[in-house]
Amino acid sequence: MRLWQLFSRANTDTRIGIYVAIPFFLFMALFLIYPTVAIVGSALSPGDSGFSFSGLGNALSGSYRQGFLNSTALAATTALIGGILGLTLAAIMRSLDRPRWLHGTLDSWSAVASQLGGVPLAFAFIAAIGTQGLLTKLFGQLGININDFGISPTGFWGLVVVYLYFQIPLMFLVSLPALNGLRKTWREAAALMGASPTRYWLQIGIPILTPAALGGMLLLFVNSFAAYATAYVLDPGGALVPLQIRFLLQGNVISGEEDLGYAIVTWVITLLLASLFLLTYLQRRTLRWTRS
Amino acid sequence: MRQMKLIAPLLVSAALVLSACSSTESTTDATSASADASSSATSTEAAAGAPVCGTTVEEIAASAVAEGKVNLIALPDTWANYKGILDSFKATYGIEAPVANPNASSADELTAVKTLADQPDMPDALDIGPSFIQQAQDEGLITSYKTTNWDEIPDNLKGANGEWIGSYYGIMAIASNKTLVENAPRTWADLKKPEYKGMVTLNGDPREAGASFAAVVAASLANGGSYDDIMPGIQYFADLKSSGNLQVIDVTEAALLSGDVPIALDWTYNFPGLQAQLAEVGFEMEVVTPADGLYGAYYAQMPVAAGPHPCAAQLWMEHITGNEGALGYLEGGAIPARLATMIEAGVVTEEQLAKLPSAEDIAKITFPTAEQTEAMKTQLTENWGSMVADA
Amino acid sequence: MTKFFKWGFLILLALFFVVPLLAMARFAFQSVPVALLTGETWLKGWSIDPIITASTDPAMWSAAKTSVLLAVFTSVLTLVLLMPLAIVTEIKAPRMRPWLTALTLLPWVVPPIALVVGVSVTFRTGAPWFLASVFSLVPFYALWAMPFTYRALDAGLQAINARTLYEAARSTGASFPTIILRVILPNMKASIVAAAALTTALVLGEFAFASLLLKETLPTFMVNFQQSQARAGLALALIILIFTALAIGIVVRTLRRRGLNVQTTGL
Repeated sequence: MRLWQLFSRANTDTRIGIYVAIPFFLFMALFLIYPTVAIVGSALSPGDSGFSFSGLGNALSGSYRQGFLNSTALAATTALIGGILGLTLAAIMRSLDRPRWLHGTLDSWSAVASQLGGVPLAFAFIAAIGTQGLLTKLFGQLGININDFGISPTGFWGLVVVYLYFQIPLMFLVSLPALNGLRKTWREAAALMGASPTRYWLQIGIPILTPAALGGMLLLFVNSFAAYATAYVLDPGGALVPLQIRFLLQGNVISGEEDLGYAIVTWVITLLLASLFLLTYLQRRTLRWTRS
Repeated sequence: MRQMKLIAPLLVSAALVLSACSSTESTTDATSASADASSSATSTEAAAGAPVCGTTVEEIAASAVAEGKVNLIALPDTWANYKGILDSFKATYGIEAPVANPNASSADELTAVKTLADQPDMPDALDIGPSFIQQAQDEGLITSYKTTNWDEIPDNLKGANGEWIGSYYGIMAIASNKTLVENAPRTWADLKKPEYKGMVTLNGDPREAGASFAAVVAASLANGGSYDDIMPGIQYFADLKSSGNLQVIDVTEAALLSGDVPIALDWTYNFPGLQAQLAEVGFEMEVVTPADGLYGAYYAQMPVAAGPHPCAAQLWMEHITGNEGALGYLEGGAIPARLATMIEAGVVTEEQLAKLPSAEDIAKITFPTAEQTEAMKTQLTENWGSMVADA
Repeated sequence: MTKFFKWGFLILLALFFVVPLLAMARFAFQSVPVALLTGETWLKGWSIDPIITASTDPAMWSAAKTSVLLAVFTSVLTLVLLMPLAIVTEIKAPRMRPWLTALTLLPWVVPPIALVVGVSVTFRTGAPWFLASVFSLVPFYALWAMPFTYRALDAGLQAINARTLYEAARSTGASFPTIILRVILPNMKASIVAAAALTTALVLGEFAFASLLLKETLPTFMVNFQQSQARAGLALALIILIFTALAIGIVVRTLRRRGLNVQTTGL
């Protein structure tokens, strides 16, 4: 009753705000917060034996610890390499006015490829650089065994190569706005004052872009940590967090580890939440520069 | 009118909340019912709960036709000639038999029953490796059914109270692509040779797939292990992985046809169905049963507890154990459960028998007991991750 | 950066993107395995039969229909949830914008492989009826579409200077709903289309969640199909990839032609 009175006394703007915000928050609460809280709750009461951190501890031991290390290494490596290559691509595309078709093609291609962390991608790489891949065979004809150089779709570096296929386009997409934030006028001003292009980049371009670039890489990190389908095809029994989660969901576990899935997911959520906090912080630093 | 539009989202969200509340109240049925079924452990009571669809195949067929459909899962076309068996089932009874996720593992099947509980596409009958029977029973996922030809099925191919029937079995084989592998390996010991680097391929993860579980057991037998101790087999694959001979991808049709799987460890009955396609691309597989570790195993079939089409599930059980289904298995090189009776009755031709592994090999097959299987599974679950998969 | 470096980089990257697709196309359309590929056989065995096999499979069409409907419903749901909120925030409470930006990013903290665990302890055990239909995926897909849907809408609102537009319309005495419906919304077309395009790409690519809840969508169908019809499966995957890219390309082009160039992503 009191609430209703408050509501009816509020001015129109506030009321409109409440009308549009309620569906959104209810939706988030039901489909995101409710399942997430259920996971965290189960993780904190392993075996329904009351509150305990033991599950969270177990999730970071033995082969699960290895899973976290592998996934983190994979995510960090692909975020770094993909970040640098994607940013370079975006910088090059910004400096090229022609050919115009290339811009449109690359934009739409990136939108698709960045969502492509799927099964067809894994098979494309098996067909190209697998033991019976086309490139493996071509180089084999020249007497070079590319698998000896670690180029194959399985194994750590193989996964890195495959993940880059969707990481580079994603970085390209997210860093374009930041690059567009670098005003041409700044560059012209720097040139007028006699600064060389190198000096312009070192003292103006890179410092301004750094928060956005780091933010983009964090997004790639999150993206790679969560990628499932590609790894599922290339190394189904492998020690990567998403695969271990699937494995625990299936119930193929040693007795006493039934609740580990919740603990692992809780750690994943914690890690990604931390990444996104950092991301939001970096983004606000970028905004200071790029807002008109 | 304009006002209404602003209020509409509110109404929708209120409805959402209401339905969410009512949902938590109506949870009882599925989960608790299956828990009851599992606590009453053995099947007699559970069997009493299963509907009586008839006492002859004709009566069961009539009840099944009324249901119209049987949901199956994890039956690949080329596996033991399931395509032929499904075709004859549909042709004989005119009942739809869709197969969900044909390449699913045994573990996937159990997950599917749980995930799809109470939904119209919930599986009606399963086909799982012996190492999953106990788990399925413990979780109350399956129900008993004794087929009309129950007495003709050998005792070691059925659960005493009809919990499961092993309608077919086969022998773990080493299959080599002769185009890619010059000297085809013939024994488990051969596979350790450096010339097979990156070639040896398991059909799935043994913790969730019956076929590769069997490969581990067979390798144990070859390395001094037994049905009571499969550590030698796990160690064997750990060695194969560290020497680089074992590759991580699965045996799939695509991988066999592209040549990505030069050496497959899989059942004898999984290759006849692929012969035509392999020949089309110019490959030939040589399938040998390794003398140093000969291991045969069945797959167990049973109806799902509270499946949406219980009578159709019973009819499916009748079909795969009956003559028509059994001849289908034979066609694919799998050994049907009622083979002895069928030979006596003269329904099997010499030509059909020629598709099976040699009679000596078949004679050597012994099956582990349920307790042994369970112990092997525990040993595997506890050690495979640390010694092989994540090593 | 020299021209040489720029073009060298672009060409190498183009090879990285194109070669795996070409290798995949070769496997799909040529029946000769790589091991038997020689000077004499490289022209043999080409055929488009795999496409015919794939396109005559009724299960493919039903999965495709499901995925298209999922994409439509998901796009509508995210827009219905976010559009009013984004507009009101921009014109009435711009101070809340950073909060909304951060809030809409939250779904990415719980990726499909993690949320499916939560769904299995909540909806799957508590309300199995909710998951019975394949369209129960819609709210979850809408969650993951939120980050870029909001960004597209927000970019659109900034681009049209929604706050100034609103004040201007207000001074003519127009009512709030009139301004929204007749001034703001018509100018948001580009953002809406861009958000829908990205949502479609997401829905057509999502595998983990649908697969673990055992729903037959185009991505999960393709994996099963690929396992039993190896070459047809890859042919299908390739075609869907090209079609999606083309469709998005056409949308982007049409928007540009009309002078509507919105940044769809970005942080």
